[in-house]
Amino acid sequence: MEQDTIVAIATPPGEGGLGVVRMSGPEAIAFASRLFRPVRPGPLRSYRLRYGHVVDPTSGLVIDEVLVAVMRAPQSFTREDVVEFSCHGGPLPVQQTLQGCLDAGARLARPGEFTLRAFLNGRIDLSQAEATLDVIRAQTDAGLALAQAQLGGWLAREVRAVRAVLLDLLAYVTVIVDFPEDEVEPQDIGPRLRTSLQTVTSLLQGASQGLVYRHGARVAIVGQPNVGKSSLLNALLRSDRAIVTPVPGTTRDTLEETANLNGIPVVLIDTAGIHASNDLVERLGIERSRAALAQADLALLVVDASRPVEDEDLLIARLTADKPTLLVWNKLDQQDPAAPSLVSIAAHLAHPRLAATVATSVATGEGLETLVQSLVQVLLGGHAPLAAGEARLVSNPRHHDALHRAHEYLAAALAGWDANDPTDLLGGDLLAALNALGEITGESVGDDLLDLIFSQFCIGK
Amino acid sequence: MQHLYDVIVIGAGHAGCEAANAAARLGCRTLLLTIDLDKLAHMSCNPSIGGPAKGHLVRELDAMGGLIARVTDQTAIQIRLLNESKGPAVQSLRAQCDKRLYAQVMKETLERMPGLDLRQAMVEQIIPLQPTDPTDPRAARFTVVTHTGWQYQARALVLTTGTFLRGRAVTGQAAWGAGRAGEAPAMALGNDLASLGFPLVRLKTGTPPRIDARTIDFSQTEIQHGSRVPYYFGHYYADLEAPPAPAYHGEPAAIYPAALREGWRPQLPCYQVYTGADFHRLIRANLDRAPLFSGVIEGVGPRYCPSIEDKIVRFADKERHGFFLEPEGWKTHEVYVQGCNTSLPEDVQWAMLRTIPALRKVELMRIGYAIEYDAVSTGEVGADLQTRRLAGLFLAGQINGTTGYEEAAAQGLMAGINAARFAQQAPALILRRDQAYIGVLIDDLVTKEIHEPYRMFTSRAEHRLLLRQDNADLRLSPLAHELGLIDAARAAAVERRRAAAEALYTTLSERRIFPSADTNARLTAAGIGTLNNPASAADVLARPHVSYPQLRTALDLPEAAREIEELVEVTCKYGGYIERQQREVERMHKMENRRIPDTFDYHGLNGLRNEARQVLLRFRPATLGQASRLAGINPSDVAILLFALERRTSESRL
Repeated sequence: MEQDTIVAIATPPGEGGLGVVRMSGPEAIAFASRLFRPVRPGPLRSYRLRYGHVVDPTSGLVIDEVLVAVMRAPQSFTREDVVEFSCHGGPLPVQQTLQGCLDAGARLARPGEFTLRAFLNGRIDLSQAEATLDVIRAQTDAGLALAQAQLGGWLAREVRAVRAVLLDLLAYVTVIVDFPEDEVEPQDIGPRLRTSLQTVTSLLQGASQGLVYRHGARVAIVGQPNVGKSSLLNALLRSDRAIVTPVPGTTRDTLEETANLNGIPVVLIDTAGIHASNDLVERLGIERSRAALAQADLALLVVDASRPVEDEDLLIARLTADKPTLLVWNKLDQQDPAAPSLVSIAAHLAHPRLAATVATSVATGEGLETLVQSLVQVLLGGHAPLAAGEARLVSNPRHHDALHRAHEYLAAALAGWDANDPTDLLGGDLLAALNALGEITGESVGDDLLDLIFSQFCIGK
Repeated sequence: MQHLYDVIVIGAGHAGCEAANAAARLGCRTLLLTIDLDKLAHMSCNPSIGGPAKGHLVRELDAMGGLIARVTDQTAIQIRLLNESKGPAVQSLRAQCDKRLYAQVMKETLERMPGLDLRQAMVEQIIPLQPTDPTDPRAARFTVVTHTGWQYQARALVLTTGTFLRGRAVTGQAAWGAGRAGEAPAMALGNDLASLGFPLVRLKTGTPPRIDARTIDFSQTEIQHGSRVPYYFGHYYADLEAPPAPAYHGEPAAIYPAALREGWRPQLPCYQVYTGADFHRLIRANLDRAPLFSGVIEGVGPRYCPSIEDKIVRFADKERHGFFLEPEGWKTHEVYVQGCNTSLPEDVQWAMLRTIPALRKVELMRIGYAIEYDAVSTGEVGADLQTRRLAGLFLAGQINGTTGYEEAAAQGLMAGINAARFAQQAPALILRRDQAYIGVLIDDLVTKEIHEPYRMFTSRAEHRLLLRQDNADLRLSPLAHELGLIDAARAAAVERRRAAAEALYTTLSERRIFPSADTNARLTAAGIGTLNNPASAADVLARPHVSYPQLRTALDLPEAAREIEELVEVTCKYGGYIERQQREVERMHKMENRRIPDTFDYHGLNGLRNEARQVLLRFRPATLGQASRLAGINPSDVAILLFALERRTSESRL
């Protein structure tokens, strides 16, 4: 019923190798081209699978390797242009791909909206649509129940507090515009605007963290044989006594263990079980490393500190080039004093996505705590982990989307205020921010604004 | 004598006059009935027109052939531009008018209107007729009975009762039946509407005292002048017509100091005074005699028009309140005390005003009073302003729960248009929220429960950057011409204005400015600041605090009429915001355009929640967009409604 482009994750949430992000609408293909880099160049054709990478359009960093399917209107489920990304790398890349589509200009789909469009465009008939409608209703009711449950929750409380402040500001802006001749004390709204923006920023940060805490992350441990990968794995597993769950790897040649690192469920993927061989490729476990990396959000690249960096290290380092990578310089206790420093090794590796470097000794335990902290910090996007008991996670993508928009409008409002823009535009941004936040608490700006105005300001002829 | 009219308008206030004008313009034989022909479009409260949002309504009325703007331009004693620095969407004009002159000019204007008859009569009864042949479009649907028993017949009826419907004025302990102070209320008609089954609600409004200018010490007031720059509410295109001369050519009364006699038109100032501690003490000491607090008044008053006693009780820590003393005309000594509406007893009104230094010896010519009146409950009229109970009966103005001359006039225009179209069997005209403030106003009236008299605010218009007063004609005049409200010459002038603005915008977009030393020197001299990179003239104009006249002088750019230059300036400066609003509008377009038949069977709609059904039955939204705005309707209700509408459409195709 609307003509914008919508996007959603089409596969059920949870673990699983594959996740599909579906986008539908007139600009689906244009938006997709902004974040998809095909391995072989050429335009996106209908009903052709294309292999390539999803990249962050601003940083150019690779998010995931994907297969992209394009179905042009009217030969698609919604009879609009549809693009589907099949992501491989677990929940985080799926979320990031979704975020990429939102950043490109798509809007998060409402429950059942793809079906609704399919119906409106004559793709499915009424009975099919009505069956879906039951689902829409159930989801809406569930959403309501969720909102009810959140009435006492911290997120609603925080958002409501921000809204109350913003509503005050909007009331003030409205009064000076609608009652220009009444005596209204001038207010400096800058500080309150700034504080609100900060709160939304930290909620938003909690939102991306929330996704990590909820969905966890997958970390591949790679490196030459005998650099200490397995002992590192065991050490990391030991560092937390609460949860150690060995599960079979998704490919024959890898081993997966889940550790709880500062509250984040981290699946450690080890290329263990590599046998001695004369074949370099097999000895280094290139294929296994690839397999492990393909499923990982992040790589731990282990290098032996007891000897100089070898060509084989560089070869493996290159495999990790499109993943955020932590360089672990292990066997610190056996370090050759003549060997180059960690810094120069990092420079020597020239890794494009090197997120941190840590020197460790699994044998003595030195540096392990630092490694865990660095790992957690990288997974949380550079932010400090939550303190114990501070369970402030926004794990709902809808809330994330709303916070994201509120953040944009508030930033615009603050910039406008600082630049002394006309009051009226400020009001527009405040209203848009309030409405975005209202999607979380289920409130809209209506007569409550007037109520507030008339209770706070003495106005009128 | 012809007693059958296409359209009869009952009541000739601001709504009635516009309704009669619109119906006559659309070619209907129209009758305007009023209790007093000397009080057409009478300004029963303050002598001013316009202000934020209200001024926008006036501009829109003019773009659609309405009268309020042109009568204001002729009778204004002062015109000002408000919110000049607060953004293009909220700038608005406000005028003080000569109250008597206003009614007189309105009467003369209507008297000249072909096809329109004016009659003085009080209507006591409306008799719905059952046409013998319901398919006959020319059949009369109503008989209107006046106080003398005289009868008229009409195909469509517009009812604009203002505060007259069972009106009751209150001052202190005194209460008397009145439509306005000194005028009889319409009691019989109120009872008649109730007997026709219309649920009525009781609303309240109030007006301040009028004082004698000879008893004001003007030296103790602050003077507020009108604009030195010409401004008009009406659209007068240089290549079509000149703005009207003020209808008054004599000397303003000498009693008013600091009058502007020179300049683009003579103007009278307003004078500001403030209350003080003694004033507040006096009111507090007499609260037990205030009908507002003693329970004498039952009606609900507007919070944005609070009485002075209400302000002092609710904002007890406020040390002073400002009043504007507004002359009610060029010559009259009557002065309106804006900000002081009250229903306190007469002795308190005298005493409190005399605590103000400028008013130590003031004498009251008319006392302030509150007035309660009947309005028809929300849900009785649809978006075309037609009642659901009686086809062909249209309501406009305070009877729909609004307050304000401009709000009344806007509804009058729409009710007049739709009554005419009903009589002519043409589909109703409904303006959308993104088209006009008029659209916002009526959409609010049919989707919101009215708890207090409704007044227009800019904050009610979510697309207000699109609904500026500077583009009212560009938005609405083509439609008005299509309907027959304005003539081809005027429509062509509007298109020339649009083309001129677009041409200037193109010129500015294509003109590249390079940061040469000479150019930067000229830009700096004009107070614009320097350029670092090449940019278009439009980009430079988009910078904050750069005006087109500044830029034009610095860079020898073409000159255009002021309104054109301002329009282009707004386009350059706020283009991004305007586009954002346009995108929002387009996003909702399908919803807003999806009509719901008035006869839609909500009872037979499976799966609809009962609460939702009640709300939909009460408001009977005209579009899916309206349905989605109703309180108590959630997205899944809208989805169910949509499916049902689709099914209806597909079945009717079979």
